[in-house]
Amino acid sequence: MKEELNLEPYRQAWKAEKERLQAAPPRHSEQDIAAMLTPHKRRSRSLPLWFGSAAASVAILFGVAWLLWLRPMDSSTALPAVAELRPQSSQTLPMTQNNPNIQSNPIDLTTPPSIHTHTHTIRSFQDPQLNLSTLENTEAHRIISVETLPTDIYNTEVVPNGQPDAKPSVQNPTTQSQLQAFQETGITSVIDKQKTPKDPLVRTRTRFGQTIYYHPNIQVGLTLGATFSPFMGKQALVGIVATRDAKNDGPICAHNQGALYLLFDMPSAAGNDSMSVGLQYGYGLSYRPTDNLTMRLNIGGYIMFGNFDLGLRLNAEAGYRLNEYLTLTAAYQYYMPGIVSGEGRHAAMISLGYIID
Amino acid sequence: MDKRTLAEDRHRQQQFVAEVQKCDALIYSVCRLYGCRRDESAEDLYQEIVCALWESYDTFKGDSSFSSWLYSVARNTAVAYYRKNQLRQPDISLADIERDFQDWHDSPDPLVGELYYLIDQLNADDRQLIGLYIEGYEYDEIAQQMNLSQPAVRTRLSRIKVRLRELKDRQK
Repeated sequence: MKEELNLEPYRQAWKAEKERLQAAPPRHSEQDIAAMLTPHKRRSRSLPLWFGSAAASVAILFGVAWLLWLRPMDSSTALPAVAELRPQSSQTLPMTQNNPNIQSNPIDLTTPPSIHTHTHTIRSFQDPQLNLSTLENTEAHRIISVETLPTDIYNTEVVPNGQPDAKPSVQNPTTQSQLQAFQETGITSVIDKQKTPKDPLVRTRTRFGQTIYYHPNIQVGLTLGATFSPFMGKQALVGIVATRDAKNDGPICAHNQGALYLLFDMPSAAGNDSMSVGLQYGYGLSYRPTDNLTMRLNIGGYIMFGNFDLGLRLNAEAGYRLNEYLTLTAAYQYYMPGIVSGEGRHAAMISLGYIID
Repeated sequence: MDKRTLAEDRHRQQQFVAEVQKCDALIYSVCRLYGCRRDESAEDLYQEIVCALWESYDTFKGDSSFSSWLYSVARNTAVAYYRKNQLRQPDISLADIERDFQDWHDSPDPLVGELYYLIDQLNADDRQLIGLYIEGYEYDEIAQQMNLSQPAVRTRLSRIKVRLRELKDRQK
C-alpha cells in the first residue's frame, strides 16, 4: 500500500499562519480597496490609454475616408456615366423622332457635366402625379447639360426651344427614367428649386404643384450624455455619432450608425477618475412618420479602450429635424454585459446632428 | 427592493471598504491557498474577491461574523477563479514559492511554504478539497461544501495524500 503524507503538521502550520496573517498589517489601503470596486479599472493596466486613443484616431480617419471617398454605391442604383447617355455614333441625340408635334431639336450633350459638391438627395416623390404624362403638354425645351449626382437623380439644365442663347436658369432634378423619356420626346418641365422660410425642409416645388421632399442621408452629430451601471457608477459621455440612412423611398429604411465616445468617471465614493474611449457600430431600421421626425432602432457592438471591455449594445433614438442642416436627437442605449467587466450599463444622450448629405 | 439615497450608498460603501481592509490578510491567505500560484495573480484574485464581496454585500445580514462570511465568499471566488485560469497558471518551483515568501512575509513558516508548493501541483477540485481539510473542516463539512458523499471525500483525500507524498519525495 502506498504511503500517505501526514497532513497534520501542515494543518497546524496553516492555523498558525492564518492567525499570523490576520494579525499582520493590511497590505492594501482603504483607497486601494475602494478603487477595486470599479472592476474595469484594474483590467486597463495591460492596455494603456494611448492604445485606445491611437485606435480611436485610426477609426475616425477611416470613418471620414469612408464618408467622403469610400462609400460603396449599390450597383442597382448606380448611375451610368454621363457618357453612357450620349449616343455612341453622334454628338447629338435626335429627340423628336417619336413625337411629330415637337419641333426637331437635337440635344447637345457635348457640354461636359458639372458636378455638384454639395447637394441634397431626393429621397422620395411624395406625389405620384409627378410623371411625364403631365409634362407632355408643356412646350419643348432643349437639354443643354446633364449633371450626375451621387444618387439615381439627375439635374438637367434646359432652355426653351428656339432660344439657344437663353440663360439655362433651371436646374431640374429628374430620375433616370424621366431623363430617358426627355431624350425620347424632347419635352421637359420647368421645376423651380425653392426654399420656403416657413418650412424647415428644403423642397423642390414643380410648376404643377407637386412637392419633392428631401430626407437626410448622412449626418454627423455631437453628442453629450451620461451612462450608469449599478456597479461601475456614473460616467459622463461626449462624442460624435455618424448615421447613414439607406436610400429608400418609403418611410422605413435601414441605417448604419457609428460612434466614438469619451467616457469620464463622475466623482464617486470610490474615488474613480478614469477615462475610456468607446467605439460602437449599429445596424437597424429607421422609421420616418413625418418629414421632420425620424425614429431609429439598432443593435450593434461596442468596444472600450482604457478600461477595456467588449460587448453588444441596443440603441433607440428619436430625431427631430430643426432645419435644412440640423437635427436634434435623443437616444437611449443599453450596453449588454461586457465580456471583460461582466457588467451592463444604461446610457442616455442627446446629440445635435449636422446633415452633410 | 430597498431604495437608498446617494449618501446612504456612499456610507455603505465606506463601511464595506473599512471592514474588508480589516480582513485584508485573510483574503490574501485565501488567494494563496485556493486560487493562484504567484504573487501577481494573487493580486488579481484579491481584486476579484473584493468585487465579489461587494456584489453580494447586500446578502450579508450579520447572522455570522463579517470575517466568516467574507472567508466563505472569498474561498468560493478563489476556487472558481482557479478553475477558470488553471490552464494559464505557470509552472512553479519550491524556490519560487520561497522567494515569494521572502517578498511577502517577515518570518514564513517553511512548512507553509511547502504546503503552498504541494497544493500548487494539484488540480482545482483536489486543491479545494485539500484546502478545506487543511483549514480544519471535518469530512462531513467538506462533503457538504463540495457536494460529495463522505466516502467519496475520504477516498479522494486518501489519493491526494498519496500523491502529495510522492511529490514531496520527488522534491527531496
